[in-house]
Amino acid sequence: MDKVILLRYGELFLKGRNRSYFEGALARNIKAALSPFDCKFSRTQNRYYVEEYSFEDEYAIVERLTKVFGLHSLSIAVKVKTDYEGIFAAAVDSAPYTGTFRVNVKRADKKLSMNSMQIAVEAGARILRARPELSVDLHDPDSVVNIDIRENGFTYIFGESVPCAGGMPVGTAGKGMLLLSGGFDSPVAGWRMAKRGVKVCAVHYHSYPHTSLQAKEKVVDLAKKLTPWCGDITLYVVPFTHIQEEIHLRCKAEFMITVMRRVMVRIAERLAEKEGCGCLITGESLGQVASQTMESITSTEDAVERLPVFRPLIAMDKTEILEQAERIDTYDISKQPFEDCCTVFLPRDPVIHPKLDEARAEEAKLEGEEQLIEEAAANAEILHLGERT
Amino acid sequence: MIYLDNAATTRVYDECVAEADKYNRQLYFNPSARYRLALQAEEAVKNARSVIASALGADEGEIYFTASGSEADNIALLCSLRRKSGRVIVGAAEHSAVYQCACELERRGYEVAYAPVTQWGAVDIAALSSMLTPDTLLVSVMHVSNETGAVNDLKAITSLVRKKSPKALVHSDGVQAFGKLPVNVRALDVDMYSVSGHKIHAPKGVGALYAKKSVHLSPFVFGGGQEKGVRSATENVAGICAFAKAVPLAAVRMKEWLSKAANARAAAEEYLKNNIDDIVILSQRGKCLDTFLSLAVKGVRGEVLVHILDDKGVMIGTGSACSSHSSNKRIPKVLGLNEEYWDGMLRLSSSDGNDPNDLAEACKLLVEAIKAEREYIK
Repeated sequence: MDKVILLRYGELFLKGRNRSYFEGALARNIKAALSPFDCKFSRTQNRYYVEEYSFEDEYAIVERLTKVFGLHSLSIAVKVKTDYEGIFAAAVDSAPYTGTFRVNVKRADKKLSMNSMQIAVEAGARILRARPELSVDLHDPDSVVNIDIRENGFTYIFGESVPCAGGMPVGTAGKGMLLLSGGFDSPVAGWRMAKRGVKVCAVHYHSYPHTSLQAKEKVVDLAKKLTPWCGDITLYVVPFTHIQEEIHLRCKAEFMITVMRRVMVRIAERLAEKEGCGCLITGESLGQVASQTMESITSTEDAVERLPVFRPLIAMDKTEILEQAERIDTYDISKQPFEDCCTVFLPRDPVIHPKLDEARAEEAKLEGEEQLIEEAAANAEILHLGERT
Repeated sequence: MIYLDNAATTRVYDECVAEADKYNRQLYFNPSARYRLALQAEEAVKNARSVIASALGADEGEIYFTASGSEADNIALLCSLRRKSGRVIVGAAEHSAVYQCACELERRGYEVAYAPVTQWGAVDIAALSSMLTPDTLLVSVMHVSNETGAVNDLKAITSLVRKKSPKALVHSDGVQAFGKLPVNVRALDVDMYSVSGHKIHAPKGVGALYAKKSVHLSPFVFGGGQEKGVRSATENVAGICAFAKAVPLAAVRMKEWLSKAANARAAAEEYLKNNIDDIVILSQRGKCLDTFLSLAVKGVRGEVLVHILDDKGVMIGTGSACSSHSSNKRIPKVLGLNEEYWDGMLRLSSSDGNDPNDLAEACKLLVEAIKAEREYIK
């Protein structure tokens, strides 16, 4: 009796002729996720299996696989040769200890003498004999014992399914440049786009000495936290102090943030194109702060010349974002109180509804902006972050 | 490199490193074991206890080794009270290790009062006196302020407490005083006194609590019964021995350093006052230890100045390093600082590894940095 992890994918079923492209990407991502473990991964018609792993690794493997986008659910199954005694013994072992249950049988191997119903009845009877405190409920059972008889001569017996992350395999929807601040929102935004198959790169604006080295470490930690879902992440840490000082000196104080954000997206677009990204991703949520009013977003968007800006959190409440951050485990990192660049030179009364022409005019006051942007992009520190870096 | 954050921690003396190494690699045995070499480890802990005891003017049996000064404070505040309710008084500017314990006592139902402090951070004795009641159970006032170096007149405080609150225990957090000031717990008449190794050039991870014989401490860590059952755990032999090694060394070296530090500090203060506007010198001369020069700068964040000096090879502190991550503005508030100065607190703290010119050099860079930063303030 061997333990096997059965993997199921979700939305890929909807794909037509290009389905193999998506399946291939999913298989690659699963293999990458399994690379730290000693185990065997295999694919057969629409199914993925992980086998020959050590018992001690089982929890970690399951935990890791639940973070692979494109997988819908998984089950830890017992694999036996297809013979009645083996199947029924495994079914008894897989049965719950309390409550109600039902046996589900799927029989791809039609050569067996008993049909699905007969196998279910017999397995149910044996389970009840072994655990008399259980009772059967066909309609709304507490637990289900699944018996999946395959054509390859093996049968898989398993209980509940573990839900996985869903979504699409990372890399199948292109690449995006995430503006990663260190707050709660941007990691969630990156996660949501990765869920739709986007390979995420990230850019962070660092305002040392106005912000701390810990503020940068925090962002590195956030990016690393995303890697089990997103795969390896290239993080650009852009030195932003000089630009902020220039904005502070030359532009109206209330336009500090508006102009700063325009410059940020200009730098991000440049780095995005260098990385081959097809979009920018931000954690903006409509109306959350002064820089996220419709007018502010318009004036930021205006500075992006070629790429679309995706804002997956635009219609989410802060509480929803925080819940999501808790689920993906970035919450505790984001809540660390290190100031980020947005709080440097923060004006007392930032403009909340900037007029586009005024925003443009304020930005135009930045002398040598092109050179400032070039320098910042060129001097960015590039970090390649993976789960084990 | 200039290091002026010795109130946060100090460089470990070479002699202490060697001592710790000896007990990590040669006599690494569990002092509770019954073979000969283990007895040597046990003996070493006993000797260390007697060194700490005599440095404090206490008996060996009154010294409990802990993992830190914070832990010693926790034991003092949380394990010494016999009554379930009553009044507890702590200084308003105490280190978080005491302050947070006081908050916990409040949650447990004690009536906790916070004694106001002067602008240089010492407890206002007149105010404290008016707070003392006959049912007061515990008074905790630090010997030297970790924020400003202010020296509290512990003797005066204990006399007052004995007179007005005869039932009360007196605890003092002596972490910043031990090794720099002569301490005699009998003369000071305190019931409990906390000390820490890493502030006097011993390794981190070791501290001690003096508790007078008559003080009954309930267990803080249950287990094998070490430290008279108050704080079970296999003794940190290497740390304890290194701590004891540091005590006599620090006594000599700190005395020598303090004789130089006074002038360096006075000159640095004058330099700052003459060269930069809108700063408040928190460490008042004559009232604070000369190893401290704490100040508050108007309109500039202390953290930014720390970064700028760091880039130039000078390390200074922003208020208490233990709480500089917290957005809590308790200390500047209780010091009565104007709100414009709250984010600008800095602490330059020296020790015997410093050169007398270090402070001058740091203040020169500090003045430049403050001027440059203020350029950006509109």
